[in-house]
This record gives sequence, C-alpha cells and structure tokens, in this order.
Amino acid sequence: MARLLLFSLLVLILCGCGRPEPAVSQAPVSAPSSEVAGVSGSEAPAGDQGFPRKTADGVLLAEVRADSAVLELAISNCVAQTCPVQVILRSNGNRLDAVATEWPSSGNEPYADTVEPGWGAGDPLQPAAVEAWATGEEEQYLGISARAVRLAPGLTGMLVDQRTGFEHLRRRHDLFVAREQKLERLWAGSEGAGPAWTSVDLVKLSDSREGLVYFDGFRYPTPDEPDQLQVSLLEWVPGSKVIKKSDYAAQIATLTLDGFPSVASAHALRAKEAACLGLFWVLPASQLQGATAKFALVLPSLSESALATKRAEVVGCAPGRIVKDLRLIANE
Amino acid sequence: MADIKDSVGEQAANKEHDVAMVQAMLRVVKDAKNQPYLAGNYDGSYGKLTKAAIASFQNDHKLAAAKPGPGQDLQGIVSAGGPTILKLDAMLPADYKDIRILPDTRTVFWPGAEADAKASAKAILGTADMEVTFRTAVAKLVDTMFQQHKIVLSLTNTGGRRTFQKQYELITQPNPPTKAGPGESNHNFGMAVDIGFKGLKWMQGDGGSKVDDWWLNSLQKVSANKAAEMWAARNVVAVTQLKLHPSALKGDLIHLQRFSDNNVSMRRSLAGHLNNVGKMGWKHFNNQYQSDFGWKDAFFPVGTATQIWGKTAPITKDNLAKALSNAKVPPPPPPNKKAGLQPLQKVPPLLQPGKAIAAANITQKQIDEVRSLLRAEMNTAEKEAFKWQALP
Repeated sequence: MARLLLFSLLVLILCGCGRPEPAVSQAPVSAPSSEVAGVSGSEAPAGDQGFPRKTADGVLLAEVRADSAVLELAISNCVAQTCPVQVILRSNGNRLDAVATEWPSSGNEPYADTVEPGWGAGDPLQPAAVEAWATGEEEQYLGISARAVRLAPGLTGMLVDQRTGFEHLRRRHDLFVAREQKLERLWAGSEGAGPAWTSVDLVKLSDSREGLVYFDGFRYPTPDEPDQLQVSLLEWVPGSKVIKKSDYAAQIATLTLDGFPSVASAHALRAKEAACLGLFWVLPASQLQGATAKFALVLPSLSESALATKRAEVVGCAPGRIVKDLRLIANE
Repeated sequence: MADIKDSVGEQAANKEHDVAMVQAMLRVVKDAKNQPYLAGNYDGSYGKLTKAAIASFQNDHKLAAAKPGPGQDLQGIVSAGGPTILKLDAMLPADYKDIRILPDTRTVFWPGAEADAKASAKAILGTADMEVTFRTAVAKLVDTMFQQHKIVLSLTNTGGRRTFQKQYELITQPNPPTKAGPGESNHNFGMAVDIGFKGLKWMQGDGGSKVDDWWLNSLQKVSANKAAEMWAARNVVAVTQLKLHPSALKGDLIHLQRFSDNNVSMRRSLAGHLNNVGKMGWKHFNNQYQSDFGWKDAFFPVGTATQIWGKTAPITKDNLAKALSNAKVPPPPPPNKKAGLQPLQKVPPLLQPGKAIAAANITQKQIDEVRSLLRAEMNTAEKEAFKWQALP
C-alpha cells in the first residue's frame, strides 16, 4: 500500500498533475464571467474554460467565434526565446491557417495585465473593458489583448492590441478576419518614433455592425508645440474587400478647458495638474467647434458619462477655468 | 550641386536614392508650358512616369541620343555627372539648388546650417550631467552627421539626463509613457540620449517642403518606411562608426545609449548600483526591490522604485520589527581609533537596531523613518550616477 502511494505520488510529481498551470503562475487570472476573454460583448463564448490555458500549440489567450469558424489568439511554443503571438483559424477543431502578429513574446507564461487609460484599448479617457495578458519584464514586456469586432453580418474579426517596452511604451493594433478558410490582416495601426500614442475603441454602427475608432496622437514634450490627435473610423464596406477609413473627429465629444492664449500656457497647466489633467491633449482651437482662445486642453471620449464624471473632477483641479463640452472638428 | 551617384533610366542601376533625386529634380523643373516634367510624386521607384519625364526633358534640351555624341547621354539614361543631370541642376529653382539625398533613402532634403550643428555639438559637450565619454561620442555624432551629410542632429528637450524626480513624475502621471521608475531609466544616469532631426527640411512628394520635428513625425505620417530609412542613415554613423547603441525596443528610433540593451535588467542594475554606492544591501527579486536596511541581516521587500522614491515603500510592522530585532549592530569603535567595523549608517534615534521589539510596538513614525532612509539611498544613487553599470 505504501509503495502504491509512493508510486502515485511520483506520477503526480512527474506529470505535474495537481499543481497550478505554469502559464498562470505569476498571477492568477480569473476566468471571464460570461464572455469570451477580450470579446467586446456581442459574441457568444466559444468555450467554457478560462484563459489563458495550455494547448498543444502553446498558450491560448482568447477565442472569437467568427461565424462558422473560431479565431484563436495564442502564444505559440517558443523557439530560442521567441514565442510567436499567433492568430489561428480553426474550423471543427482543425487548424486551417495561422498568422503571427508583428511582435512576438519572449515567454509563454502570461500573467494578468491591466488595461488602463493609455494602454491602447479604448478611448483617451475610458479604457476598453477587456482582459489583457502580459509576458516578460522590462524591455521584454509585451501586453496582449483581443476583441471580437462584428464588422458586418456574417463577418466577425479579431482585433489584437499589443503594447511593449519599458523605457518607452509602444502600441500596435491588428485586425484579422477569416475569409475562404484563410486569415487576412485587414488593417494594422502602429506608432512611429517619439511620444506617439494610438488606441482603438469599438463603436456600434447601423445594421448591427461595429466599427473601429482609431485614435492616433502625438504628445509633444516641448512646450512650444501643440499635440497632434487624429480620430478615424475604420469600417467594413459591404461588397468590398477592404476597410474604409474616414474622418471621425467630428463625432467625438470632448471635455475642453478653453482660454489658453499660448501653447506654452496650456502645456504648463497640464504639467502642473498632471494627476487631474494628464489625459488631456493640448490642441489648437482650430480643431474644436466653438473654442474662443488659441489653444485648449481637450479630453475626447466616446463615453459621455465618463466625460461627465471627469468634468466634476476638472472643475475642482482647474478652478476659474472655462470648462466646455465642445466637439472636435475634422482632422487636419 | 544636386547629384546622383549612379545612372538612372532604362536598364540603368536605378538605385532608390538616385531615382528619388532625379525624380525630385524633374518634379520641380518645369517645361515650356510651365508644367513639371514629372507628373506624379517622387518616390524613388523607377517606372513609366519617370521614364516619360526623363525622355521629355532630354528631348526638350537635346541631351541624349541613341548613339550619344559629345555632351549627350544615352537616350533614356541619366548618367552620374552627365549632361542630363547637369542641365537639371542648372534649371533647378533657386530654392532647390542645394537639395541632397542620403544613400539608401528616398527622401530629398535641404542641408542644415553649420552654425546649428556646431551649437548642438557644443551644447552636448557642455552637458555636465552626462557621462563624459558618452557625451563626447554623441557630440561627435552631431559633427560627423553634418560633415558627411549636412544634417543637423540635436537632443530633444527631454532627451538628455533625466532626474529621478522627473522619472517619478513621468511614471505617476495618468497615461504614463514609460514603465521605468526612478533610477530604472537609462536616461537617469547620463548614458542615454534621444537625438533627432529637428529642423530638417525635406521635400514632399509634390516638390513642396516640410520642416520636421526631432522624431520625423511629418515624414512618418507620409511613409513609415521613408522615416525608418533616415534613422537607419543616422545609425550608420551612430552605431556602425561611433559604436553607440540603439534601443532594443523596436520603434524607439530616436534613442541612443552607451551600452547595449541586450540582456540588461535596469532593475537589477539599479539594485547593483545601490549596493555599490549606498549603505544598505539591495536586491531586485520577484518584481520588487528588497533591502536589508543596512543592518546586514535578512532582506525585506520594499516595493517598486516608484514607491521607494515616493516614500511609500510597503514596509510592514512585522518586517520592521524583525529587521530591528535581528539587526547586527557593530560595537562602537574604540575612542580615537578607526575600527574596521563601522556602523553602516547613522541610525536615527527613533530606530534602535539590535534591540528586540514586537511588531505591535512599531510606530508609523518608525516606518516613515525607514522610508526616508530608503529614499536617501536613491538620492545617493542619483548623485553617483556615473558609477552605474549595466547588469544582466
């Protein structure tokens, strides 16, 4: 009996059964409650197990049911400390295609990451309510998140957001769809050198479609330059094979501190009240409907309720300032 | 003069930089109808529009023949130093006389001013808070880029040495642009710079001009690849010739530093630096720093660099009680004699290392006192920045 117990114990030790999955060893990741991890809400769960979880191919981070197929986001098995982050297309359990994202992971033991404002998923004020994972530390850090996008009836894509870096943080976004049993990268957004910032939020369109709202900004650290911010809508054009990009700035509500005679004065207030105004953008009045001074501090958001909450805070931290609810005008 | 290094045209070498230069010239030189010879934008790619523009220009000015005579190019070919390029150069509008292009790039630009390059190099050399061999190399980069390419490079306004306090402000702001805390950035030790192209005037596809910022943000918007080519050209000088190191982070193109990022942990390097210059023992393990508080006993978790700098290090009463109770306190040195074993630091009166104390008796003031000692170690690390070494 003692031998049997010893043997059983040995088997348990050797197979690793009974111990936590190494994939979640750094921080426990709770399983998504009612939706597929990272999915924005319109799709049904593709499985009832939590993420991340180990598979034969690596570590599965998210699944999106794309009509008759499933799009998986996974960190594939590593070769020489490089672990491709792949979108895998499956149908009836069969692997039909796979495309690697631009940024691979340095390991395949993901831990929970937190999507905060600025992470790259959501608008400038309101982070998207998605789960995210990360691998690596310092310059090896890579944050990964995925969302389902219902581009058109019968066409659901997977939006993959990634964030990397330590000294500086950089983001990129890739939209994948499955067509004719192949994966296509329909669109990609990335950042150039310097304090660039990009983010993607999802918006409901007509016909139960969803579009991508792409924020593409550059926050100048110099007090003599206003920031740059462009807002575009990316939507599927029925009957075509492409994503159409159009100016979406005018659709965006903002919380605006008006009344700055110079760009330097706007920068100065933002720096002084960084905790309260750090998310604001220094923009020229020409980018706002109804601004009266030359420059303004502007916080755009798709969430009017989030803007209303922030308004109360801003009134407190910038007393005497003119707080307006203005709209952006077309991108420059 | 505007020139090419190799031939452009039918069956010619058609190197991208040469094609771009010829196209750019044909874009701004006008025909008898006051129309540019090149109808489309210049892009460095030889094709039908370029072929037609070269033929038209050569025909108008009788610069080429199937069997070229003296003063003629082969039909459809713009040879380096040949009659077609000389004529194009002669016909350039006055504002375009000095246009240039770098090898393996497709962006034509105007030369910067020598005085600006000298001022930039001088400013870098005079930056006393940067390590001297490093700042000398960076100034040399500015000089060399100007001598070789007539491009002026300069440090961004936040691209030199960054104080620990500034790093703290960056990481604690909403939407922080970094994950590096105080003492964890390679900008904190005077051994890294962000150096870019501010003021570079480059030619747009249609012949217009644009003055760019340090990051080539305008060029980036037009073409990420063209911007990347300019950074690569900078790195031929910075990395290949002067042995500076680029950032390991893809896309962090503006950044250069004295050491290679490969296999460097900035956090373990900070712990090592604190060990070297401070009075306490330090480690970085499991995503946080650990300190022995200078009492040479066990190590205790003290949180992140941001917490230590902000004097909010998560020190528990339990840990502080253990640390104080078990502290190895050296005996006082004999009078008028320097003992080999000195107290590791001047112990504040609130703290009595070596005396047993229960966790329940630890006060908030004592915890704050230890937090101040930890912060003092960081202050020392900053003061002794040039002793910092990259560790794996």
